[in-house]
Amino acid sequence: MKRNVLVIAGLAVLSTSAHATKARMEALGQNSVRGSEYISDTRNVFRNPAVLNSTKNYLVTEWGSQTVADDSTAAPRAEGGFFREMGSFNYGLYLGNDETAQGRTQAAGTYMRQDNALDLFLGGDMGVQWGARLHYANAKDQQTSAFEKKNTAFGLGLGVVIGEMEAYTNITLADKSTGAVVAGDEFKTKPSYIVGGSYKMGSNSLYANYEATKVNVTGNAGGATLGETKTSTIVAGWGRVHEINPTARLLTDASLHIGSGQTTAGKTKENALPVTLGFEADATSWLVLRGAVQQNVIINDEKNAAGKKITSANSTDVNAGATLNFGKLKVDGSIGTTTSAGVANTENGVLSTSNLLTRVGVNYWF
Amino acid sequence: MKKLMMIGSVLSLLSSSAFATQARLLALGMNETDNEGMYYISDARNIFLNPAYVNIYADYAVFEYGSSGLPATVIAGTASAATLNGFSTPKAQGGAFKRYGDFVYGVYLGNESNTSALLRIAGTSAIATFDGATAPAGTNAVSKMLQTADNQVDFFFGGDNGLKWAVNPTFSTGKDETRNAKDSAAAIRLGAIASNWDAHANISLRSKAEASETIAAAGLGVGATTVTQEFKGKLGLQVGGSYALSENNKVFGYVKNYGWEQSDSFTNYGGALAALGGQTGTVKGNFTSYYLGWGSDFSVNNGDKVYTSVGARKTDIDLKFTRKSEVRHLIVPVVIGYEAKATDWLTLRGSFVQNVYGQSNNKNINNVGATGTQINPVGRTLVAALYGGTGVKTVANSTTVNAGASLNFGKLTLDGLLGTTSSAGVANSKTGVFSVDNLLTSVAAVYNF
Repeated sequence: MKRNVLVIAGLAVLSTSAHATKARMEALGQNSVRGSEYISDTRNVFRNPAVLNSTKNYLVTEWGSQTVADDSTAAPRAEGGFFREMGSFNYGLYLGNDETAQGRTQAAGTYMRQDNALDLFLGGDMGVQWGARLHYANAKDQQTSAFEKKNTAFGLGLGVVIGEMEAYTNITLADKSTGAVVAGDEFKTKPSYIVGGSYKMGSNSLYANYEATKVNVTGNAGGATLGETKTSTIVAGWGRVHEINPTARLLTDASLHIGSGQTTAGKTKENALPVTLGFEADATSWLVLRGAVQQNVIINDEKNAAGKKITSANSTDVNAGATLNFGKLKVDGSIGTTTSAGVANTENGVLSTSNLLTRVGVNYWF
Repeated sequence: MKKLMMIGSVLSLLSSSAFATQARLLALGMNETDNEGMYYISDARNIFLNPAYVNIYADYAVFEYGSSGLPATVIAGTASAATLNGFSTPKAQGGAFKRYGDFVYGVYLGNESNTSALLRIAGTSAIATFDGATAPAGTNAVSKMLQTADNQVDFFFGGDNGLKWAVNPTFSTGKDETRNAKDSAAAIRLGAIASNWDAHANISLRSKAEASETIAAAGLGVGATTVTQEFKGKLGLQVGGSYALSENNKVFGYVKNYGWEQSDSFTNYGGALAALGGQTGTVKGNFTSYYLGWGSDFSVNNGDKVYTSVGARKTDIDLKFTRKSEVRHLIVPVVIGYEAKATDWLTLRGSFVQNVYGQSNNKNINNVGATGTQINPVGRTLVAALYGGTGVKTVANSTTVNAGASLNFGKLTLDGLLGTTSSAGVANSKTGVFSVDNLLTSVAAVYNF
């Protein structure tokens, strides 16, 4: 009881939060890794590092396990970072950012994937806000197998914010893993990139991006698709943040996704028009609640390598989240992701106080 | 207790809100297959009964939390379907509604029809439900059911010029070329609300699902065979409305009728497979439901409400196989419910429901055998669960008690059901437990702007 009183007393120090976690992005139907194209969030530094100039002086920790498996809502990875201003520059350090696995699972007989990743940020504002991100990961294992497993990855992100316009690119310069089943197996990402931008007109934003990836796997597939795999995706969308009042906003977006892929098995296509309706409101001075419903509308099909089309099923998704504001400290998380018996990642509409928040992220602002 | 106190302390902002969720109506005794609303309790969810309600409830967004699956999905390796959007098995859906001058418009995503899913499952080829069966007993390895509606979009547009009116077109499409399967559905709801009456016509314009694929069931001696199956709905209609006898008394009713044809190209249902069900060629089906009732509410204690209703609902389903399947199901439920503002931030509600009369008199629903039902096993399980099995039977154990709550955070309201989990946290097992761990189930959020 005393503890609860303390918690409540603690929650009396208040402010609207500057938001900054994967949980928030997911609750609003946005990309948890790269952030949003039109909703302001510190996570957006992974899309456009120039955003660092307007979101700085904080520390973020995303709770999760130490596993090197893919980060997901069900099984978040531990990661976190630190962003600070220094004179007319801003810098940041982020540890454990999960870059794409591209079929590498880290299981026995597969390629080593990126591990212990490090991202360094630097930005400045000289009339034009600019930012850069350098991504690095390096790991090897000579003990587990009779041959050496190794991964080395480099990435670069660049971006600018000019008034209401943003432009960015994120490039995977190298991402090479060797030794899956036998020595000499190779998983190699050729230069891959995403380039995009947005333009804000009042509460509306128009955005577009183009992403291309290319991976070549030789020797043994090691869990990945053997041979060369290419993907390309064009996204063009509109987003709107409707500020109802200073403590509540409605979020709406619609975006056209045109994707294609090429493997040795053939060509695939994927087209969709996801529509998102969301809200975010300060329920009390110390509690922010948010949620969104998302569904593919009208355009919603995939074509496999055999040329057969299928509608992407069950695309209706509702997510929710909350932020507990303790002054400079914000605790974000997802709501309703467990069953009544506590089974994780099973959305069936339960508000469980035993698992009050999942995929928790904590920000401390200074 | 500690948690409850914490939550109570936490909910410091207040106001009542426009009600808009399935959880609220379920707690007050709604028992409609599609959770489409209630005639005698005003709620924004009633837009799926009468779209003219958009004129009464506008400027809000609603988010119903739940699974992102289909209304009914066959459980692999069984003859059962897992159903969503029922009590304690919510399906993700939501929408937003905005007033624009004298008009209101809105969009709602993911409100697929349970009734439509039921009919398509019942209309699936029997042999397709046995695809992959390796044992003569025929537990289904991979049931290749007809696709049910998915990714549905509802648009709303209404106005108020003395008479409140609205239209609600809805559609969904899907395809899977690996199965040569596709489905589509379209419907339109029309509604009007006047000072002492309301009326609606919900018209199913199209409901079609088809597939043509290879079926094999080694355990039943069925080699690889191409089976073409189709469900084709005819023009369907639900017409209903209510009339206010006085300020707090209403009579209401509806008639639903959906007809369809289902076809199956598999030609070897006789002989050793005679007990499977199924029939080659085209079979006609018909679903009719009548509902007539009276409902009332009265205010107590400065704004709290007590609701009562009694009605009679008759459901007839005919599937004109050689051995005709019939559902004749009649219930007379009495509902008494309450809704009370416990505190500024908490509204509690509940109801008890019992059929004072309930009987099913069904033929060829789940009597398996060479001269038994011809409905596919998944369909027969689902129909029997909803309307009873073969024979005459009183609808047993119909007394139910439901409860729910709304947590009011000013313009934001969280609705949910109470007491649906056991002390061990088992879902949908009402055992009289108020579990703070699973404070609310079938949770929905409504934001009024």
